[in-house]
Amino acid sequence: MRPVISVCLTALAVFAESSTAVPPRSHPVDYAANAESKGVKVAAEILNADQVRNMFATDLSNYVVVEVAVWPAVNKPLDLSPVDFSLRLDDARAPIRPVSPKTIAGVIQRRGQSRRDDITLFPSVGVHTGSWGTGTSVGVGVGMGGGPPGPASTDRDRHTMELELDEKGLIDGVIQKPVAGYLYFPATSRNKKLTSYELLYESDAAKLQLNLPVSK
Amino acid sequence: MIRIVLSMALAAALLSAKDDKPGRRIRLGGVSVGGSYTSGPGWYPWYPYYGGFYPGFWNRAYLYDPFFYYSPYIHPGLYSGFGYGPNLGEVKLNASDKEASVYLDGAYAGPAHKLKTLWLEPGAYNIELRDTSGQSFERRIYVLTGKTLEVRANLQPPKEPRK
Repeated sequence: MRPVISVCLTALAVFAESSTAVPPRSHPVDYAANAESKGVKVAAEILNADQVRNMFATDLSNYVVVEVAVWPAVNKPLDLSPVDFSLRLDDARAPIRPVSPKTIAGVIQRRGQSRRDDITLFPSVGVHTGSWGTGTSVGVGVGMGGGPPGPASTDRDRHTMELELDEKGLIDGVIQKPVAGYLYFPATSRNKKLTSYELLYESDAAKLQLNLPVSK
Repeated sequence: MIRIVLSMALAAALLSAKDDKPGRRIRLGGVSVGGSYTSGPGWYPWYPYYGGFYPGFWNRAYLYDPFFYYSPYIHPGLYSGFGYGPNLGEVKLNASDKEASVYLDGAYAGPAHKLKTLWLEPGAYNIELRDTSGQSFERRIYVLTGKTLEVRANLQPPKEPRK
C-alpha cells in the first residue's frame, strides 16, 4: 500500500509543479523578504501598481498582489495551499486570507456589467444646400442600455480572468521542488497607503512571518 | 439630372469614465457633422401621367441619373463608434522583426507587419513569433472584452539545450 501512496504523491507533486506559470527565482534572497523554519523556506515580494498593470490583463487595482516562492525541506514533500498564507495590514486588525481567482473574476465581471446601463448620446449636425435653397438640421439620438458590453463583463471574460489568475497563482498541492506564484489579497485605497505588510505562513510543516516592504 | 452630394462624417468620440466607478453614466456615443449640395431638377420631377402628376424619373429618359444608384453618398450619421468589434479585445503587437511570422495557438496568422493590431475573442492564447534566422518569441496572453493588451515581442535566439 505504501508504494502506491508514494507513487500517487509523486504524481500529484509533478502535476502541481508543472502547472505553475511563474518560475521561482534562484535563491530566497532574490526576493524582498525571506524566512526559514524547519527546512521550509518562504520568500515574497509585493508587486507595485505598475508591475500589476503590466503583468496582468485582469484589473487587480483593488487587490494587493504578492509574489511568493516556497522551497520545501530536502526530501520532504510539502502540502502547499494558498490558504496557508495570510496578510496582516496593521497590528490592530486580524490578518486577511487571499481571495480565490474565481471570486475575483466574478467581482470584476459584475462591475463591468453595471456599465451596460449607460445612457449614450449621439448628437448630429447637418447643412444642406442646393438650387432649391439651404437648410440645416440638428439632432440628438439617445440610447439606453443594450450597448456594447462593458470591459471584461462577459462570461468568457470571467472564465479568462479566472484562468489567468489561476495559472499565475500559487499552486494548491504537494510540492517537492521550489515553486512560485501570486497571491491576491483584497485591499482598499487606505490599505495601499501603508508602507509595509506582514505575510504569515502557517501549516503543519512550518510557521513563518515575513515583513514585506511596499515598493512605490 | 446632376446631383452632387458632399458628405462628411466625423469620427465617433467615446467618452467614458474610469472603470472603477460603476453605475449609470452619460457618455458620448459619437458626433456626426454633415453637409450636402444638390443641383438640377431634383430627384423626383413632377410630370403628367394619366392626367395627374406623379413623382418619378424612371420613365423619363432625359432625367435619368446614372449615378443615382452608385453615388458615393455617405450618410452623415455614419457611426464609427466603439472601435472595431464591441465583443472583442485588442492586442497591439510590437515586434522587433517586422517580417517575423506570427502564430496564434500554433496556427499561422500572418507576418508581424500586417498584424500590428489584432482583435480577438476573449480568451487565453499562446502567441508565438518566429523569423527565418531561428529567433523566436513566445508568450501566453489573456484577452478581455474592451481591453487593450500591448505585446512587445523581442525575438531571441533559441536557447541551447541543457547538457
